[in-house]
Amino acid sequence: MANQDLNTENTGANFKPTPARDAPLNEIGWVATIKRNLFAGPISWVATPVLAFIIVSVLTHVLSWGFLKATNHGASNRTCHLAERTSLLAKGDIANLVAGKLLLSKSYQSQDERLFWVDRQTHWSRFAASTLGFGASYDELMTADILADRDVSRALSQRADILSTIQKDIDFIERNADPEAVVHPGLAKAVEGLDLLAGAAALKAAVAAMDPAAFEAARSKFDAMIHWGEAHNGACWTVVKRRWQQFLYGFYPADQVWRVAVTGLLLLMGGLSLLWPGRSQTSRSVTAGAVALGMGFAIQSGAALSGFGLVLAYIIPLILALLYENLSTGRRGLIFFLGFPFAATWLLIRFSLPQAITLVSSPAEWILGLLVLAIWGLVFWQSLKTQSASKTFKPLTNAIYLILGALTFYIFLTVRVEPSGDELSALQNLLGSLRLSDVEVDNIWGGLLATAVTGLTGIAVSLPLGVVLALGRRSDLPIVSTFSTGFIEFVRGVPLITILFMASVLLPLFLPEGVTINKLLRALVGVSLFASAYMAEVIRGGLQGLSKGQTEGADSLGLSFWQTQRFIILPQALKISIPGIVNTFIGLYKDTTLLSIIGIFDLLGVGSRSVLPSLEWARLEAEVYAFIALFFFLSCFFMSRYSQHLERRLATGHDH
Amino acid sequence: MRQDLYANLTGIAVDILSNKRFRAIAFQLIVLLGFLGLLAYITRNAIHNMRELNILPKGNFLTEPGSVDNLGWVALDLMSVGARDPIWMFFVGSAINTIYIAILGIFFATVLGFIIGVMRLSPNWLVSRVAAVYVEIFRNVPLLLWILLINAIVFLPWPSPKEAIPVFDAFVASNRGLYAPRGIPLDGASTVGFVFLAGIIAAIVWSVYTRRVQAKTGKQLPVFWVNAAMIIAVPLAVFFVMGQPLSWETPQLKGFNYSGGVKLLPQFLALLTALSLYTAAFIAEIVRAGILSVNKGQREAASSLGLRPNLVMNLVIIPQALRVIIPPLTSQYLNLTKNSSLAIVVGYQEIVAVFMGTILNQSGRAVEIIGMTMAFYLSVSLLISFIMNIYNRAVALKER
Repeated sequence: MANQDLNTENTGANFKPTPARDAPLNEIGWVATIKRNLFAGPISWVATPVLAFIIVSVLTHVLSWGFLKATNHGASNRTCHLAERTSLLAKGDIANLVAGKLLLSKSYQSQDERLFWVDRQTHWSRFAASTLGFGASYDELMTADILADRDVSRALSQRADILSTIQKDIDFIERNADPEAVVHPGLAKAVEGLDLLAGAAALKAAVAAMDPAAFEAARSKFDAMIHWGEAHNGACWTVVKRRWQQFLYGFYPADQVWRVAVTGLLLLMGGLSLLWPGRSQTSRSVTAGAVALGMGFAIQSGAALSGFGLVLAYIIPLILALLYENLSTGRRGLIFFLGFPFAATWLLIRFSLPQAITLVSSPAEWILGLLVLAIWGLVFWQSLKTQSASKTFKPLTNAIYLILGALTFYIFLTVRVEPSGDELSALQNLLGSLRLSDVEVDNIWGGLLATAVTGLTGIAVSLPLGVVLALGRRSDLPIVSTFSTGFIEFVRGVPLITILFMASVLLPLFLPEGVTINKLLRALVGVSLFASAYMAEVIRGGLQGLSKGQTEGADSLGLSFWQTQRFIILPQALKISIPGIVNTFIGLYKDTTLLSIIGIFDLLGVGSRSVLPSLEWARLEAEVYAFIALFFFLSCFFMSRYSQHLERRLATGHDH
Repeated sequence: MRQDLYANLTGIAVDILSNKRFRAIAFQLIVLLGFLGLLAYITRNAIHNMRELNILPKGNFLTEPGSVDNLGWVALDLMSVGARDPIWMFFVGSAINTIYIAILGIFFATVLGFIIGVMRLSPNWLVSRVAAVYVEIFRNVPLLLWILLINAIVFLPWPSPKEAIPVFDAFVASNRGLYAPRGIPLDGASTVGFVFLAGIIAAIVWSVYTRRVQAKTGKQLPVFWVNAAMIIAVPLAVFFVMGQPLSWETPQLKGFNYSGGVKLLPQFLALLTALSLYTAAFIAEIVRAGILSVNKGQREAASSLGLRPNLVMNLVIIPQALRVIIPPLTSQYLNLTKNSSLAIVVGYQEIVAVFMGTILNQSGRAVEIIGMTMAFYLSVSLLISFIMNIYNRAVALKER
């Protein structure tokens, strides 16, 4: 024992641990990180550089096309075409060409050999340029092309022709009165004091004389211009800038566009704060952002609104936003889901009323007014209750409530008579100017408006219908389950486009005589039915994920079928099927692009059927489609990220 | 007395109403009656409206002459449909085109999807990021836009046949199509074909045999190289011994277009590219999920047995992952087939574009044509489900 102690003591006294050596340099720090993540094995040594090269070259191309060389100038594709054509003059070494021609004409090579080389060169540059998009410039392309035709002088005179076309373009633009159509400042600077036509003539003369030196001298005058052309030969975002309104609203009357903006504002305000419930800070900042965004839209588009109307259109949403944000999530949801569809329909279409401004309230307006008033009363009552509970009286809030209530009452509910003559009171005039006119749906609605309406309606209809179908499919009742299964399997077995065709061609046949529904509504029916079949399968998956004990437990508590579903089964089933539900939403949202095929001007329809066929935006397919694709990417990406967030938020922690 | 009667009657009524069986039957009867009523109402309206529009079904419209334009192209030249041919030929021709693009699309999407899905799990950061970005980009943009974008960026700029440049005098990329040489069999080519077929059969037999031998004795016989020799080397040798009985027909410029050789339409290529790339993104996610679903212990156990990484993948991970992969993969195949109907925007002659588009516009027989098209897609869907279910049974967990 003592010995042991001694030993320990001894060792303790004499033991000097060797200081730990540092880890090898290539095993720690960034060197090791890079090695581990990028160069771990022989395959990685090959894959990493290859992928890096591909990424860099793709990014360079996209960046230079979409940003660095892009232009959004002018009122049509004219500036972009000028840039493209000017850049054609760029690289091709014309002096060499002429020299080559001289050489060739001296029969320097045998005829066959010469043709052989010309052909090879032509083939390769053409192939590279047309299929891979890099390697040969357009200019080389043309040079090669014309060489193949063995007519150099034609090539050169074509160059001169380009110049005179550009001169004509510039002249045209300068003469044009449209202030948006001015010559691009860079081009204006480049051609300042330059006589393009004279220059073109000099080029032509040099070509005719086969004089490389003269040609080069004549061409050098255009260097600034060529430089400009090369720097602006990218994407032509002019089309997006100039047709922005159409992409957003389709052909909605320009002076009524603010109504769409206000609807969008309401949607953002109500919807976004519901998406992040329970966090007042976040939801308030989201609301503020939504209001700001909506105001931006409204200010941009609401030129027709003036004075008091303008103030109302901006102030009312703001006040409503603040009031709305102070409610509990459940109450907000109730108000939103009950109120928004009515408000949106009223704002966007307005129930069919006489075209002219009449001051008689219609039944529809009465219903709407009562609804608004009911919501107002509910909110006001709640506010008073909180005030009395906390024993604080807020005079300003109450005043705002009262004013809002009175306004609602006056706008919607007062029974007014047709004015006898032209004498309208100032207030009546004002209110008259506030009242909305009818807007047709067919061929008027379009762009993002149509896409959003289809997507949201599809989502709003397909979820409850999907729940019903899923319950039906799992039902013990044979007829119910046969119908549900048959419907689901039929819809899932055919492409959406056939359902849309059916909706747009056959649906009118199924309706009684004299009843017509507009194209968008037909498509909405098709899209909603289609999405609900897929939704049903997703929800059925969720239902199957629950153990039977849940139903049995509910039964033993004496809950009825619907109570069991409502309080026990669906909350759990819906929670576990969130990823699938959101995927179906994303699919549905992407599928709205198919509306363009059956003649509706949705976002893609505006691009492919209204913008691109017009002469002023010809040949801008890449730009238009890239813009729409970017929009869809951003919104779908947001949706999928949100669903992941939702999964995390709803995770109760005892699932696994 | 009277009150008693009432009470009794009420009691009986309540009993009946709260009888589960009665309620089930009554509810279903209501549903059935409602459905039949709706059906009758719709039919009545449809017949009335169709009579007004004079498009009531009469006679067999399928034998009437079809479109003013011929179908232009049927996959593999299985048939040629002219302008005055009966409508059923247009139906069959365009249906063949749909099936053709679906099969090719499924093939390419599966290959690409498996590659991307495995890349997504690579320990190499760059590789897995690239795969992730690929998946996000393709999944979050509608397929219709991909078709249009790929068509606009890649295929629209192709030159006209007159300006197009042949590569190696054999391949031509023009806006009328991509041309490639076509092999024309000469005398003796059939022998080579038979040898090739025999090679394939022998390879299958050999695979089965080696598997049996391995199961019985544990001995591994070479499979890959023997099969490669039987399928490729032997027919190739016979090919040369027979004096290369194959001549190539290269595309030649005749007037405004090329003739001869194999022709692939740009719209077909655009659709095929877009369908394959788009579906591959979804398949990649399915493959990733499938591989991740295999317990980590399986991989570790396999490694500790001394299996090489590729054997771990082939013998242990993939067979188990396939059980998870096959069902969602089937629905992706179905989606791809149905999505081929979007060809209508680029003008590939498949069933929706031709039959539900041109022919419908011409004959006006909306009900029959839409019904036939839907029936076609339903049968194709059923067929794919059937085939995949057979395969699924083969890979599914066998509980003994």
